[in-house]
Amino acid sequence: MTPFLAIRDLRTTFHTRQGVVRAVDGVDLDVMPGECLGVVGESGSGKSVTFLSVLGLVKPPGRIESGQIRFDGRDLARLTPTELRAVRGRDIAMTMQDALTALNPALRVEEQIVETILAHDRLPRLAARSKALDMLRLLGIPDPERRIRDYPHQFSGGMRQRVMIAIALACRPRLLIADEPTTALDVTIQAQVLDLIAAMRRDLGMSVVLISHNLGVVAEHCDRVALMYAGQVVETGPTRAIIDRPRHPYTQGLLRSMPVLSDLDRPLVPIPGQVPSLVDLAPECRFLPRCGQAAPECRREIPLLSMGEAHAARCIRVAA
Amino acid sequence: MSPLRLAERLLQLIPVLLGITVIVFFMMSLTPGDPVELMLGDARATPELRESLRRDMGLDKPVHERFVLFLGNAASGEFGMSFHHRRPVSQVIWERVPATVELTLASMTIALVAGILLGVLAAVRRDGWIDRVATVTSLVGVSMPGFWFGILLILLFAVTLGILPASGRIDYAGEVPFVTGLLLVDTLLAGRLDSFLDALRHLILPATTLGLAMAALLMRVTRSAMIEALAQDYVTFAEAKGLSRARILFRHALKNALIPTVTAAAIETGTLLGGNMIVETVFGWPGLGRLVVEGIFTRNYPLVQAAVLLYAITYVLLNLCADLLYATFNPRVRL
Repeated sequence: MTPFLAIRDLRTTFHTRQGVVRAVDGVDLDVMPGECLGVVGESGSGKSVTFLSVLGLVKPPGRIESGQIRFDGRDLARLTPTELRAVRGRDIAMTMQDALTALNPALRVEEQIVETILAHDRLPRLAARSKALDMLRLLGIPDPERRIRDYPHQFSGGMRQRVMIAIALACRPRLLIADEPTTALDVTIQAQVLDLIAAMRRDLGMSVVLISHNLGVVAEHCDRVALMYAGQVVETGPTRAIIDRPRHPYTQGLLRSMPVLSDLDRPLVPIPGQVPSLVDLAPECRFLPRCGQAAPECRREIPLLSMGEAHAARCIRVAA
Repeated sequence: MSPLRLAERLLQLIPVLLGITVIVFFMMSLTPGDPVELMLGDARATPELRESLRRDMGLDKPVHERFVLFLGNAASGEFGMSFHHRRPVSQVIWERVPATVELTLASMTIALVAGILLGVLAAVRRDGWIDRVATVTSLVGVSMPGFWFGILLILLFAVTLGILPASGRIDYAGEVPFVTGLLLVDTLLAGRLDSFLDALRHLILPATTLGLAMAALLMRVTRSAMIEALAQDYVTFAEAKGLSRARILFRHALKNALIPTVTAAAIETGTLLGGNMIVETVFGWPGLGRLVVEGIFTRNYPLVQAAVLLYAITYVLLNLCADLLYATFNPRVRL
């Protein structure tokens, strides 16, 4: 199957006074039609910047240095601002971590959803409004005729997240990028929102990229997972394979540091050290300073090494 | 705001105004200079004449009695006779109000349009040349005294270039019947386009002088509020929705940036009232500000008291306006 979105060797940098920050450094990622891809990594791993790059939303001093973003036979990195604007919201939509800050506090929900529809479809206002109401209803917002007149602050956290998703899905996009959709929510509501996204994926037949720092959340909902560390993909593969046979020491470390309900006596092992600065990186494995299995051979650029079944890891041990 | 809450806010104004009245009344009484002496001007008037004039003007009574009398009359809208004009103070003042209102509205318009537009431009082209020019200009605008800037404008446009009049509101030939007192409106109602243009030409220099400081302030407020708004998540989300640049700037960012701007504008309009006195004097504008300045020089107690009270009421109402506007632009606030 041909990928629906193919990112090849994407490099996004931020030119700061401290030097050039290589936020995304040679990332390759594929999203297949209808699949859910989980992208996992800690803050600063480059997972959000990768997908902001896809939508052309990286702001100065950041810029896409090189790479390809193939979507629908076009390279999004080469589109004009006007062409990109037509893709955003219509073909590829995005939700953000916190709906409270992502929704404009000074505009009614009605305007924020209707303007999205009108930006992409030449419709009479009333038709757009009824589409908006359908969307709110689809996302389980009670009494949408009344609530559509409300401002974002008048909704509860979970409802606000639904409103944001409704806006993102208003034009029935083929790909939804959900950036930390549950991080700002109470645990009880997290599951609801994730189930909702899964249901929308089925109903609208779209692909989903679920960006999260929580491997557990991703494992439960995604077909495939990509783990990012310091601007690179360090391991990628089918979710089951990653959970059962993690090959990169970082993935292994993440799994060891996660509590498992069925085995609460198992000690949690944190990963020692911290994420390296992304300025002036040496040509070596980025996980080297924190790795318990480091060897002299790790002091060179390591490529993603395939293990079959679309499972690959950026570690010398894979070859061995 | 509910009507009840509004009534409450209006009731709160009473103690404020009472306090202002006390201050104004006693300050005027403490100012050196005797209105009777100033009015008679020479030493030949007999002591009897002086005494009878003093009695006529109600100045023979002790100051606290005069204050009680003043309060009682003021409550019924009666401010006594203007010493100088020998006509009721309220009448003298109302004649002058429209000219000041027209000047203030024109200045506000200039300040709002220039301040907000330049502020948005400076924020969007942050650190570009527009931003630098606007920032320097606003610094100059805030620092420059109004009377000096006014004189510069007169020298350039009226004296050297001779393209705009230096003083007054309108040429005598262009006078039109009184309807609203705002000449820009009255001339149009009378169908006199020539008079309208003449009135407009007279308005440009004083309104620019008066509006400059406010424009500079609003530009700075708008700029920083826009910069803050453009860095918010809702702008990124709006971009991710595929909205046009214009819509993101003027609907999403500006609607939020206007919250501090509009509040500043309403409060700053009160400052315009003070600026009026200087600008009206420099440009010979027949408004309330100049009347008050003349009144102070001639120790025209009743006139100054009434005018200052009017200023105070306007100022306090403008602050109330600022609160109401704040709530209008910011749906999260409930008054």
